[in-house]
Amino acid sequence: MNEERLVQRPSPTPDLESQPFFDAASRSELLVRACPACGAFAWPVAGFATCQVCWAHGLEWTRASGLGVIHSFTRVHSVPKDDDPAWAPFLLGVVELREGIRTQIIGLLPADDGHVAVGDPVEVVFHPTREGVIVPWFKVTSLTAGSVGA
Amino acid sequence: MTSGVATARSGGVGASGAAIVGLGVTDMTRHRYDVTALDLAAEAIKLAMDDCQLPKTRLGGLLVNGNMMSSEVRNDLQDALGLTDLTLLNTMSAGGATAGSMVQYASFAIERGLASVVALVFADAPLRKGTGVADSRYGIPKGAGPGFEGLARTYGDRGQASIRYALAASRHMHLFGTTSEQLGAIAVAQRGWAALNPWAQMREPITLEDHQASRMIAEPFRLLDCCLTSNGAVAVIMASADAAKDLPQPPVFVRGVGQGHPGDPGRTGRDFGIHTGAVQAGKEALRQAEIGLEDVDALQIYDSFTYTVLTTLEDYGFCAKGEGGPFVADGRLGVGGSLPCNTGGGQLSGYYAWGFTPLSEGVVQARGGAGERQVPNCDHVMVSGSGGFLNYHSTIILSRTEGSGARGASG
Repeated sequence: MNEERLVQRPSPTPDLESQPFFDAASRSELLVRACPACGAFAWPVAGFATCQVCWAHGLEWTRASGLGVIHSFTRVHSVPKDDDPAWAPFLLGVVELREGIRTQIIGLLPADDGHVAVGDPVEVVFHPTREGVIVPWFKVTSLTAGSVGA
Repeated sequence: MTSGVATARSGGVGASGAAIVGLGVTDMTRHRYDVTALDLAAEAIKLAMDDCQLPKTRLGGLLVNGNMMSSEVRNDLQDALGLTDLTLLNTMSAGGATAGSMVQYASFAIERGLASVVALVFADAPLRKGTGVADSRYGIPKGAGPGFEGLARTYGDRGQASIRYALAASRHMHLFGTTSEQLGAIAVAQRGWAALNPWAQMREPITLEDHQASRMIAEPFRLLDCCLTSNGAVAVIMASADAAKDLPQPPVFVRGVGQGHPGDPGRTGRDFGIHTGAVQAGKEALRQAEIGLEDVDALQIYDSFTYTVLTTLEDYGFCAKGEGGPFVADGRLGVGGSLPCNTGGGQLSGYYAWGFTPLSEGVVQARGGAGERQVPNCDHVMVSGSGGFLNYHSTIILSRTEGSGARGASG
């Protein structure tokens, strides 16, 4: 994984719903959802703002720790024809956050020595993309290189 | 006794359990680009009605498997087929688990006398001439939406099924030490069966070395861990168990159907993709059928990817959770093995018709008409369907014998 390539990735276009998330990312903050009624956390999902625990409507944004562990990951070896062929192979995974929720499928970055394994601790990092929007990635923390792996 | 089939399109309350009386499978050994999914659906239903020698006027019910785009073949199939005055009509959608849900619903309707003859169909035509699978309708959507959908595209996630199943398989490997070679054993076994199936798309035998040499898609999956893509359709015709005995084909009794949908709230403590709905669905289907795992003569397990077979075997209880790798590695799933599985090649090597691939091969085996690949003395076939990305599950027990309960899916 070549971190210099991150700036060549196509930017998402923030919409009304996701604007606070990307605004926070530009300040190097990771936002997740929280229920105003029961306090349960949730990873943001497009088009849905109801708490899955108590069904209260109106999930709010809250700052997350940005720390977690890799629940699972895959190294993907090809890209669609209309994507950058040099992007592959790349890492996607699901991160279990300290807040007790799992992310949707998200971009992962290996440790500086290339290490990546299920169970590795990760922390959120922020990088600008091609059109300038800053987005979060989860990077294996260097301290853990050589930890119990897959 | 007057069977519902002989006289009317509604069956009469108190009908016996349900049975599969007709099967139609379009030719999927070659890619057909000249037909739509709607045409393929019509072709399969005609083949299935010919198979049980019933005229179209006898059809009282039509159930359609909602396909990927959920728009191409729906309830409008009724008018395309010129079917009038149906008493049961629906398009159902639980991905690869839909076939089981459809068999269950049709069984209920038949047993309650709401329809006497019901057609169930899956049809799709994702492949287009001159383009590869990646450009089929199962391929990558061109252009992602804004917001969080756009963010997924930034990462390189365009919704590929391979990525989602790979995440489950990768975690299984982490937890239990499952290997790519063990997954490969499933692919090799199924290709062995496909070699004996004239309906199969891929009949050239493969070795574990071929599997290991096939190109990597999304780790741990190589090309030969992935299912095919097909333009085709499968239809089955269902009627009451009593009516089935008067029809030309050997009846295939629906002895049990279970569903299981564990849900994934995405919270700590849920190990999504490791335990699937097969746990609940399998138990329930066996309970209704009044049989145990030891009575199962053949398995038709939904195989979107090799891993789907492995985790389903564990969840059904053929081996303990985590032991699926060593369990499949000895070749027991293949030709001559002790646990014949996906005896037509499945979706990895046979043809890709979602839950109708395992269902169709289950019918062929329970009838005893599988020719070279026939499992000897095949009475009970356990058929699975898995939809979403291991989200939804259905299990059907199809049997040559009717069973003492004879109450089918209502058991």
